Amino acid sequence: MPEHTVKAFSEELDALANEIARMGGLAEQAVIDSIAAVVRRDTRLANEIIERDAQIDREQREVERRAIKLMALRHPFAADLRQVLTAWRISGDLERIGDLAKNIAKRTLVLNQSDPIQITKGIERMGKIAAFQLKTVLDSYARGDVQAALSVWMHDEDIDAHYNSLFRELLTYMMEDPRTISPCAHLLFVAKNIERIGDHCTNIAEMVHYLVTGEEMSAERPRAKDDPTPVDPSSAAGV
Amino acid sequence: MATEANIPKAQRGSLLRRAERAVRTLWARPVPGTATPASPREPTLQDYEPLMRALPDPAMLLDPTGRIAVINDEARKRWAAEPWVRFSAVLRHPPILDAVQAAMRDHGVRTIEFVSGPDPGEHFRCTVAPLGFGAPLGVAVLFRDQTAQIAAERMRVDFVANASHELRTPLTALSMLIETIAGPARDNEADRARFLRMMLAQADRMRRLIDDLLALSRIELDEHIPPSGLADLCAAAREAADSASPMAAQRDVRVEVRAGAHEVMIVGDRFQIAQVAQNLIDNAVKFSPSGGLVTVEIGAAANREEAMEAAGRRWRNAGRISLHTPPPGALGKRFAYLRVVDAGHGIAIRHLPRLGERFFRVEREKGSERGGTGLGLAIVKHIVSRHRGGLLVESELDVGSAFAVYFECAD
Repeated sequence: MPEHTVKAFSEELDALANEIARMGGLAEQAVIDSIAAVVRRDTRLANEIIERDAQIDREQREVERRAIKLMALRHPFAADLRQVLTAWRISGDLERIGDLAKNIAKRTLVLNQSDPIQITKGIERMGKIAAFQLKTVLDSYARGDVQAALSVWMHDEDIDAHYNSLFRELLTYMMEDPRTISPCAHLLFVAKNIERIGDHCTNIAEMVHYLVTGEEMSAERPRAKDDPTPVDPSSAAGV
Repeated sequence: MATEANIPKAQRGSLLRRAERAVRTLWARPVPGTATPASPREPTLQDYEPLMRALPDPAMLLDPTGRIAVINDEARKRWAAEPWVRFSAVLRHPPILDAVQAAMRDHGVRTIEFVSGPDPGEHFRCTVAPLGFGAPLGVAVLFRDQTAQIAAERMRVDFVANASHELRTPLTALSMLIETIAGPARDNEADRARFLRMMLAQADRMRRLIDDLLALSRIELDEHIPPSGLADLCAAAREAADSASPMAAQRDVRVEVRAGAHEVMIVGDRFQIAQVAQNLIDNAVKFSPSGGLVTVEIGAAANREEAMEAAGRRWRNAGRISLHTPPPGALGKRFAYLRVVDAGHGIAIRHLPRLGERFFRVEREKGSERGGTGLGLAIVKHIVSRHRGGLLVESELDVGSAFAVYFECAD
């Protein structure tokens, strides 16, 4: 009964896609919540995010298990093979995104022990963009929408620009008042984590492009103009 | 080959039913005493389609494999989903996926609330209910959109907090001036006149603040309702430039509108688009030095990316940021942009991301007061967001700033 075999195969591919959707939902929630936790200084929410991360890790192992089984038993090729491969790789990116959100939550716990810093607005904006990018790229995966994936890929520079500006602002803060160095350093890592969440979104966008077209993305991605490394302390202090 | 073990559970039932039907046709004549019921056909999910169509809220029916079997127009519009699409490709929020799975398993009805997407996401109250007696036919998922209600609540809270904070400054000034007039300056005619003028200025400032706050909250209220109607960017720019001319003349600033003879039509609320042009041009005039030039340019491009290039990526050495980026829209749509350039001091890169934030004023640290409420750009941003357009800024110190908005063209 060859028809039966094909049906079971497509059901397995469906199950894999369902798993990625669920993982994506979890990662999305973790990112949104972690930003909210930093901004609202919400210790309870932060602890919740840290606890929930194990679930994402479990889901990732499940995706891996399913992908290996599919490849071993069904020998998929062409579009089916791409579907299995991209699911595997996207699950890796989502797992990392979950880790980064968890790290933000952990830093929130530390941040909440010192006085509030008036810079969390910038973090909130940056986090909003990252969450939007993640939502768009997961939608593009669910719909096989290359155009949306491309737009995610193009707009990563927005996050980079925010990161660079936050970096400068935090540096200024630290130089003005050395007592803020410890919380500012944590916020710096929070910003860096958000920036890396954006990078994982562009990875997923590349995967979506490969999944749908069978080709790798080739164009050069636009970069934010300002590189954060060459900051002159004297000029930053003067602003 | 088809042993029971490798047939999926869902199929086992249908095989059984098929076998049953085969036996029934074999024994075509009715067996006396076992009269067949009036409707021998088993109900299908498609039978519920008229009911689903009648529901005012988004609703779907899922088959036991988790694919959409029936979807009403409300849901179709909102998620661009079709029958046979996997439900998890439409909504991936963990609580709702869990509720659907649990409903398939234990036939219980569940109601959950969830927020979809990043802040300010869409708030839904969602009921998940299994259908069918005995053998599960599928699951009904019914949504109620609570976004507007929650936005209204949040806005009330925000409005009170923001407004009271900002109104306190002029109010403090007013009461101090009143105290002075009533006390030390009571008998001095010249001082009294001077203080009354200052009081008028403060009262004026309060009125402007209240006007802007009210405008902002009105825009926010229907931000999630896409605009209908058509607006001409060129007309909006010309009108705004005209009404900015008294202030421009006072500051010795020239405003130049560069637009073709044709109108550039976009889908939008005419009054709100006019407000966008007005706020951008007013700002540019305010921040231009005496004798400066403000240019307003309108143009169109073949697609979104080209419009963004033309509208906000012109200066090589400028810092730039996208204050609002529209969701990826349909392919092959033309876009139009409006770009306002001033020759002011420019804005430091580190301030760029905070533009458009309520009550954020760049020059606050320098202590100079230009009479802005700090809400103009926030209003622009919310209008742009409602129109699914974009807002770009590029700025270079000592060269100037350019603010640009871009929208999808009307067909």
